[in-house]
Amino acid sequence: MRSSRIRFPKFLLANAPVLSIIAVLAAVPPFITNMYYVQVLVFIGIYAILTLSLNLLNGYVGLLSIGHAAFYAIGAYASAKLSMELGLPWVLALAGAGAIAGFFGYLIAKPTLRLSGIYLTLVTLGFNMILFLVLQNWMSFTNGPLGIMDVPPPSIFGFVLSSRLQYYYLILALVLLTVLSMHRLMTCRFGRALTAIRENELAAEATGVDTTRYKIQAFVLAAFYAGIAGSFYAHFVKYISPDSFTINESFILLAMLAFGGQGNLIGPIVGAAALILIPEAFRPLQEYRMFVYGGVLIVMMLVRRQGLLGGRSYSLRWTRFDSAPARIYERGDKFLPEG
Amino acid sequence: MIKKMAVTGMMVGLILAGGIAGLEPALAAGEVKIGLSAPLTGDWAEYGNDFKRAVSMVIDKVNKEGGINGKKLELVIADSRGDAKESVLIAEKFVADPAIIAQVGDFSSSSTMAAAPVYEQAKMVQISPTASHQDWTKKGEFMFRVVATQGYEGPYNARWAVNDLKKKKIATIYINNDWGVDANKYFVGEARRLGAEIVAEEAFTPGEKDFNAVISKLKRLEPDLVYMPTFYADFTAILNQAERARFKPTVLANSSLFSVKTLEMGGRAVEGTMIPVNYFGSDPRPAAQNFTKEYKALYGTDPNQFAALAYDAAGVLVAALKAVGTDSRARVREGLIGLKGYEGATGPISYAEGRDPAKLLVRIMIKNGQWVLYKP
Repeated sequence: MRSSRIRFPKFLLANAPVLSIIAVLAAVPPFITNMYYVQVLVFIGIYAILTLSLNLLNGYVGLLSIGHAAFYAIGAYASAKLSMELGLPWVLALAGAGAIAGFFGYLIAKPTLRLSGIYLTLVTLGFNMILFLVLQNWMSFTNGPLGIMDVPPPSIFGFVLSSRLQYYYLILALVLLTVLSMHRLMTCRFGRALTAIRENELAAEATGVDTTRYKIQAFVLAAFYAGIAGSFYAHFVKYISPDSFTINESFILLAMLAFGGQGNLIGPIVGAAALILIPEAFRPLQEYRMFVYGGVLIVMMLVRRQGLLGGRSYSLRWTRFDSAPARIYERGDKFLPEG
Repeated sequence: MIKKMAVTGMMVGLILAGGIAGLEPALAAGEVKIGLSAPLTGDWAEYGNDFKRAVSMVIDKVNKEGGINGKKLELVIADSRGDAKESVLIAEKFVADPAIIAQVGDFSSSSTMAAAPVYEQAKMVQISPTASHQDWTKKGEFMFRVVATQGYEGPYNARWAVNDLKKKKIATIYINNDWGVDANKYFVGEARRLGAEIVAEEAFTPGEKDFNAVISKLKRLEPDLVYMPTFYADFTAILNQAERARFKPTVLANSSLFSVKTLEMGGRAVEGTMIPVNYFGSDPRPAAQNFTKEYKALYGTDPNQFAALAYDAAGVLVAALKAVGTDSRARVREGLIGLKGYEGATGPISYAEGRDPAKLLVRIMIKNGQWVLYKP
């Protein structure tokens, strides 16, 4: 029997890799003098949350959603409206944006999740298109194509964010919360049930998993996270218009997920980071830089169909010091068979 | 396994190499740069490349004449894809480079507006050739516009329609984007004030192909004039379908249609269309003539108005730099406001009264399949 005096440092040691990554992410940015790099990091953060939320559906449950930008848009507009018209403080607007996006997720999921495969995919695509048209045409509420201007900066209990570094720490906190909460979800019964549904829906149902209910819950959760990212985007860029939430945006998210690999929590973040960094890094090439972007994606699909880190789980724990056995699911997902 | 690891390693290496290539090289002392943010790829690539050609032309000319106070100008071009988040990153990149003194761009209003707070905070001039959103220049003190806004062009067209053409029963068809909504709103407001009756205001979504419902409605209402803030693809589709429905209205539209594409795709259906333009190739003013000649000599094609507007944006910027020097970003703003008697390809430009210039519009129309100066 170990005493708690020894177990505590062991817990620290086992989590040392994760903790050191967080420490680097928290400690390095204040020393970056060129704010452009900080801004790039902020955008990576936004897209990391979005890709992680899409991963919940595509990677863990195996529901192919290709209209995820719709929930991102709902989050952005909801948050802007809540803080500007109702005067809610940002923290409440953020929660509200997530809740409203989640509610729309429920509205879409409830009637359509009895469908499977391509039918559900088409519904998500259609929903994205309809939502874009609503944002574009509902002049009195969304100000149509003119967009919503001067969204206030986030204020947290009276502290108003102004510098880019503060935005960076806010998005870092949001990304960490997302990863942590998803990690907890995926290692409890809920996550096991989702994985079971992905691996074999019939078998899952036979062992007593209420598949429809779990799929709806996953959909609502994914919409919730996308709404959170939308809220941050609205208060960060301070101008939102329907242009930013077209079906194209959904495809970018899918590309990030396909590039980084799905079914774990690291792949989506790596994918988001890579596909933000590649076009930025090749900016000196001007219009030819998108060749690199497309080329990298094609090469990836040719040589590694499951994406950079897809197809299996990775443990960031230092297992030598881990008292609990490592939990690794070896199989990938069924949409992208192993190459 | 080894093969997989090698591929993964290659990918990571490629990304890292790109990251290193993206770092800016150390600055040579006394270098002055101008940033250009424009959609070189994506839906608006054609217009972004017009910007690139016209602005490079101005910069090359200045450098050939010895630069500004002996300093050469360098153009830094960045592709925004017409995406708001890219233009924000470009703005950050530009303001972080101390050698960049001012920025030209972007093309679309949404990209321009999303980037505006970054430029405002850095006190760097953001001069857009084409962004037409009314509220953009109100977002800060450093936003300058070259194009006539719809707040200006709309009422101008209304006076043309109601006072000069004596049309009293007017219908409008407009594209539902930020530009079209403004264009319609300001036209309708002024036309009503002048005593015209607006019998219909019809919006359509960008990309729509079938306009038969709108056309049969308008045909029934028999307007004296149809005002159409649209772009050439929609405009020619509407008029071609109207012709098939035997509906041939008198049409007044916007500078956006000024392109050979309108003539090619519209054919007989667009005959008689009247529009005001910022720039017209056979405009007799010397500034416009010089621009047309230079552009044609350099690139071998006739310039369009987007090129002309970008040419003027770079032109006023260079004139301002000549007046106040290249020491501080904030002073460029004073230079632009203090500018007097600047003659551009799109007419005289002055920012003394505000950062939305009053423009001289040229009236033109389609006659025998050609754009010609409008004569009553």
